[in-house]
Amino acid sequence: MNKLQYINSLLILIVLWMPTYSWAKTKLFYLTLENNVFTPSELKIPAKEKVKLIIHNKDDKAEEFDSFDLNREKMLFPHKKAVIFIGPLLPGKYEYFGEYNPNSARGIIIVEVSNAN
Amino acid sequence: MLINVVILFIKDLLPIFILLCLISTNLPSDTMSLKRILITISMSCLGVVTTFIMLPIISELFGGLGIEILESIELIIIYCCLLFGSAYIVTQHQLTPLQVSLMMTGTIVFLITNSTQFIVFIDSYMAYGDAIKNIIIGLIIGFGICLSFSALLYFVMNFLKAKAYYSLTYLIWALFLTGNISQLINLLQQVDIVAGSEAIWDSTSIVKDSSEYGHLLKTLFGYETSPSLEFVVLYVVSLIIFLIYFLKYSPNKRQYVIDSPTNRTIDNTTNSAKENADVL
Repeated sequence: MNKLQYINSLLILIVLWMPTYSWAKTKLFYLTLENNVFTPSELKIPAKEKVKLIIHNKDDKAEEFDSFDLNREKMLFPHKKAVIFIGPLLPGKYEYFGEYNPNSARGIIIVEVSNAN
Repeated sequence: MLINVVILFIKDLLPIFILLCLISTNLPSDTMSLKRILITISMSCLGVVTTFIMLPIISELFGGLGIEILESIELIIIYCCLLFGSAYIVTQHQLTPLQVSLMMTGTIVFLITNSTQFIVFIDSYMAYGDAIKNIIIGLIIGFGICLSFSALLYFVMNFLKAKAYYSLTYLIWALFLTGNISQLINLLQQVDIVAGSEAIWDSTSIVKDSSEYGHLLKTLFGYETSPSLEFVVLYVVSLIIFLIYFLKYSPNKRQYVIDSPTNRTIDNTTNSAKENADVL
């Protein structure tokens, strides 16, 4: 294995290892997009903690999950799942919406100190 | 739907208008020949179509991190290429062929990155049967707004250039590219490659991210209402790199005779004098 191949393999390992390592400790939350509507429309997550959000687009069209409050933007391709990480966040309400259908595809992430489900 | 087309047009494509405006005003006119422009356009179109087709597959690479990793690489390429290509703004010397190639590469990658998301959006809207009319009107309005803003920016940049405020034009260029590269942190935090952290301030009460001004400021210099520490660090580091680059190259700056009607340079005058002396 030459030097370039070694560096390449190392980089791939780092990229693959870093998220996997932290994902193991992260709580999972789910959102579904169907008929241009996100469900649940209110999602409670714990405060000051990083969480993993899995969004399943059940529609036949692409959508873009967007949130100015969370600084997140993610393409949701038809019939595919997308993963994003959010937090740690302070308690409060954080709005998100589907960029292509902002009137119907809307929701709130409620960050609470305890009793998050 | 109409308003949404306009908003997304401005959000995704205004950066392209601004970049092209900055390039056209900051680079010597002979740098971008017709051949180079045609190569840039055709490569960009090819890249946009390829990326658009491949995007659903790319999104599933690396356990769902594919798009973020691709966009991160694209942002780094854009930053490096346009940084090294920006020597002309500092020195006012002709660009080397390598610098021209870097500028072209940076521009092509920038066009691909920003256009692809808009194409995905248009493709998604085309699924609605009655959407064509709204899409066309929205595209025309969005194009008009972007063109108007570009025209204003073009005149401002030319004014600064005419007054020989090269430090200011360089600062605008540096802020634009810094705002672009700083999005890297949001992308990497989104997929947990860089650890997320709480926002270090919140300026929502001044300018909201979601407002028109918020969009514009974000496009111009990467404005964020609630940036993380990592975002601010990358932003500052990028500006320091631009400052170092400026300090390194500015001693080589070509001096202009500002009041001359033909805008002749001292270098040219000196060279002519030398040539005359050689002839004699």
